[in-house]
Amino acid sequence: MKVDNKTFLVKWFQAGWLVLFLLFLFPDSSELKASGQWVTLTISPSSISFLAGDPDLMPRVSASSPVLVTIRLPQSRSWRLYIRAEGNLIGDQGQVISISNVSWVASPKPPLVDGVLLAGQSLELGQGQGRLFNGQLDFYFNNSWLYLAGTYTQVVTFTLMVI
Amino acid sequence: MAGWRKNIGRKGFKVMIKTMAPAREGRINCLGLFLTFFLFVFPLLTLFPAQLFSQSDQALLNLSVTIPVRFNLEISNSQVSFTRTGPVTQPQAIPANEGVFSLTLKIAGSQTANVNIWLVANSDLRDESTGYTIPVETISWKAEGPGFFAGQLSKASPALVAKISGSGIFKGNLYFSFADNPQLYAPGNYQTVVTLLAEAI
Repeated sequence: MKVDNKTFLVKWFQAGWLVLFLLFLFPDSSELKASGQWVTLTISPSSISFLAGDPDLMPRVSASSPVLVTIRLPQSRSWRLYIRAEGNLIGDQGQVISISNVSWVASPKPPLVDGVLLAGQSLELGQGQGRLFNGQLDFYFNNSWLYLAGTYTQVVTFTLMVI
Repeated sequence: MAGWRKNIGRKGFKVMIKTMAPAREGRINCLGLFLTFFLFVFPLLTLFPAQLFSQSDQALLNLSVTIPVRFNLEISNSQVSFTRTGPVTQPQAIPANEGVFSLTLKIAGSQTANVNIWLVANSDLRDESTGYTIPVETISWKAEGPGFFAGQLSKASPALVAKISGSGIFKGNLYFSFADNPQLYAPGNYQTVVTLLAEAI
C-alpha cells in the first residue's frame, strides 16, 4: 500500500486538528481528570467560616464545617499533599490577623498530620500511597480580644504531588 | 509491491519479508514527523502542559473569620467604703477601705469606634436610720492607666472614667476618697448606689 506525500500530510493534519478540537472542547483539565486519566484533588466544601464569640468563653473557635479531602489517582502511586496559606487574614478595613492563629486537626493520622498555617509557606499535610484517599481536616481559630471587629478572609491552597 | 520482496522457500510456500523503505518515502516520513512536531506537538506542549503531563493538582479553600463588635466590663469589687476613725474635728480626705478599685475593659471594637465608661450616683449618701444625707459629690477618685481619668461622683450627670479606642484589654485603677467634714456630717452609716455606664460610639 503506497502512501503518497499528500495523503500522509493530510492524515497528520486531520489527527492534529482532532486533538486540538478535543482540548478546546475541554479547556478545564478537571473535566478530563474526572475520567480518571489524571490525578484529582477535591476539597469540600470550598469555603469555611469562623464566627468568633466572647474570647473569654470561646478562646478556640471551630470552623463552620470540617473539610473533606479526596485524592484520586489513575493507579496506585505515592503522593504528597501540601497546604499553603497565601497570606495573613485581611480585614475589610485592611486590618490584619496572623494566619498562624488558624490551625487544623487531621484524620486519619497518618498519613495526614496536624498543623498551624503560616503565611506564604507550603507545609506538608501528609504523604501516602494508593489510588484513593479520603481524609478530614477540622480547622480552628484562636480567638482574642486583641482583634479589631470586622470580617477577615484569606485563601488556602492545597497541592497534590504524585511522586 | 514497493517495500516488500517476494521470496520462495524450498517447501514452496510464500515468505513475506519486510524490507527497508525506499529512500524517497523515508524522506517523506521525516518531513511529516518534523511538521507534525512543530505544527501540533509543540503547540500542545506549550498550550496544554497541565492536560498532557498532569502529575499534580490544586484545590482552593476560602477562609472567612467574623469578629463582631463586643466589650466586657469587669470590676475588682462591688463595694467601696470609707470609715472615719478617731476624734477628728477638721475636714480630711479618707481613702477607701478596699484600697485600689480596678476596672478592666475588654474590647473588640472597630478602628474608629470609642468605648466610654461613666460613673453616676443614683442619689446622695443617706443614713436610712436617721434620714441624714451627705452630698455624693464628696466622693472623688484619682485614676491610673492610659485612657482613664480622675473625677468626682455626681447624681446629676455621669462623670467620665475612661475613654478607649481600638481593641484589646485595658486596665485602670481608681483610688476613691471621701472628703469628710465632721462639723457637717453626723456619725452614721450612709449609703448610695453608683452605676457604671458603658457606651460604644
